[in-house]
Amino acid sequence: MLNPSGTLNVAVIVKLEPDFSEGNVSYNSDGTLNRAETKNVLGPHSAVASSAALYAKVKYGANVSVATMGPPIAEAALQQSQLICNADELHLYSDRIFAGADTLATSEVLRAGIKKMANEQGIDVVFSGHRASDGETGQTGPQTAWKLGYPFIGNVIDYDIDKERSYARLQRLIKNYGHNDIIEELEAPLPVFITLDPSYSPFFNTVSQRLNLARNQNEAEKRSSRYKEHLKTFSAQSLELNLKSVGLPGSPTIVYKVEKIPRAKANRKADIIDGCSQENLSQVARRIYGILGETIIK
Amino acid sequence: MTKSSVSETKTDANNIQGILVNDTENENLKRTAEEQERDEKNHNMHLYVVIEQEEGKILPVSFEMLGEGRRLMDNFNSKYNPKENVVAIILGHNIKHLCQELIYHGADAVICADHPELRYPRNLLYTKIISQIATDKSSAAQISSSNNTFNKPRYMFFSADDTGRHLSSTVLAELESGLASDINKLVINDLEIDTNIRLRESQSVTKRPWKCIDQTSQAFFGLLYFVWIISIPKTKKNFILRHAA
Repeated sequence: MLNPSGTLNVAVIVKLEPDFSEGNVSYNSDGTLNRAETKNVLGPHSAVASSAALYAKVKYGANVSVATMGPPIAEAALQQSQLICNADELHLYSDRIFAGADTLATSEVLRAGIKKMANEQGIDVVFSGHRASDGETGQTGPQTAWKLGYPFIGNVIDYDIDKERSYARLQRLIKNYGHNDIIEELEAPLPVFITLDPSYSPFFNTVSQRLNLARNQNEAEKRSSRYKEHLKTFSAQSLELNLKSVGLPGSPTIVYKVEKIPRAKANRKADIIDGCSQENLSQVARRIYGILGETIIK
Repeated sequence: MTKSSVSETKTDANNIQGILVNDTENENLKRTAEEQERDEKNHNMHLYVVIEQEEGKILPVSFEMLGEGRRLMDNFNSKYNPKENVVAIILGHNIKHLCQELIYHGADAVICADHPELRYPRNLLYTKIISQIATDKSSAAQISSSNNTFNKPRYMFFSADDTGRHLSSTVLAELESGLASDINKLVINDLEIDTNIRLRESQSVTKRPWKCIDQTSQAFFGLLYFVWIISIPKTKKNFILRHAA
């Protein structure tokens, strides 16, 4: 059931990730990522999740809260997410105890955090990205859903919410390698946990929605320039967490060793010919002709 | 804890991009005597492979997992001699005919849950049933009668496609286990992990062997499922050869 006030409460969980775009990545001499030098941005899949929250905000007037777990610099991810989805609340779960957490320990923190959102009225829809570009496991979302006890629906490409019946109607894309891809249409009772497919983008097709969108985007710019007013920081103590279930003690998975994949040796050879002079070019033409034969001239 | 009761995973030099290993045993938490006693009584046994099917057709990735599971457990059995099996779990509706095919492809036993509700993979339902099967002592007793103190699977395999990836996360959240994703090579080997990796500098460092899956969890969901165990046919090798030909 929706909460008594009738507004839809939406949560988004995001992650601050290294910016893997050209020129922003730096590596250590042993081939691992240099985290101090590399710029951090809101992860691309987290941005998709934020845009899904924008859809709920525009179409249903939802109350949006964005949450992340990380060091204080993760505020940057919250700010960038607020710029996309015009969030009403920003939650940062930051504590030294959380360091070294694997997916299970992270989801325990997020579970406790989501329970505290929207003045503890209860969240109706939680959005998360498909996977992080640095961890690449895609497990934190489903595990948080499981800990919250919400139905989990992954790879969603479209959704609508029936507020009266308190149901979500969704479409999800399933890729079966070696078999046909499937688009599944399903219904789930609220509250529901949704992981967006990377191909998701919101679609606003009525005039009132587009006007509403423009108003929200203006408001988002103003809000994100003063994002600290909306920011709340939580520690392990204020989340009332069991210290055994978070951070390193709560992590059953550890990375033992990371090794480089040796680059495969090239079997082909290349001759480099300077193409500035005409003589060289005709030499190139002759060699292409020699390889391809008469098929090239018809 | 003796070293022989512990199984480990190790990277093979130069060939793997990275590996995650499991350790639910928390060195920096004091373990009660009761917990230790419980661990000694309970055994993690067998390799469970979660098979995926679509409209009565098994997806190719499932056969890949069975083949790899067969190789891994044959190696494990010859090395440590515990006689553990490869167990396939298949969920769906009208799929009993698929069980025989899974035996041909290398499974020692098949646990099949057949119900109209299971026709499509729904995460919540599938998670509850798979974790119930994985902690079910009676079906494990049917697979190998030698040991009836079965607690949990030693290893579980899931495919890394959209359904299996989400299922693996939620099932192992229920079983409170670690999880390595996007695996391209697996080796079982004796290995001592330097606990430096886990502990902060302030804490004392001791070397102890690590264990795969360790804590208990309660299966709680009451949906009926059909358990069908097939004993290993004596002519299994012939079947596999014929199939390959």
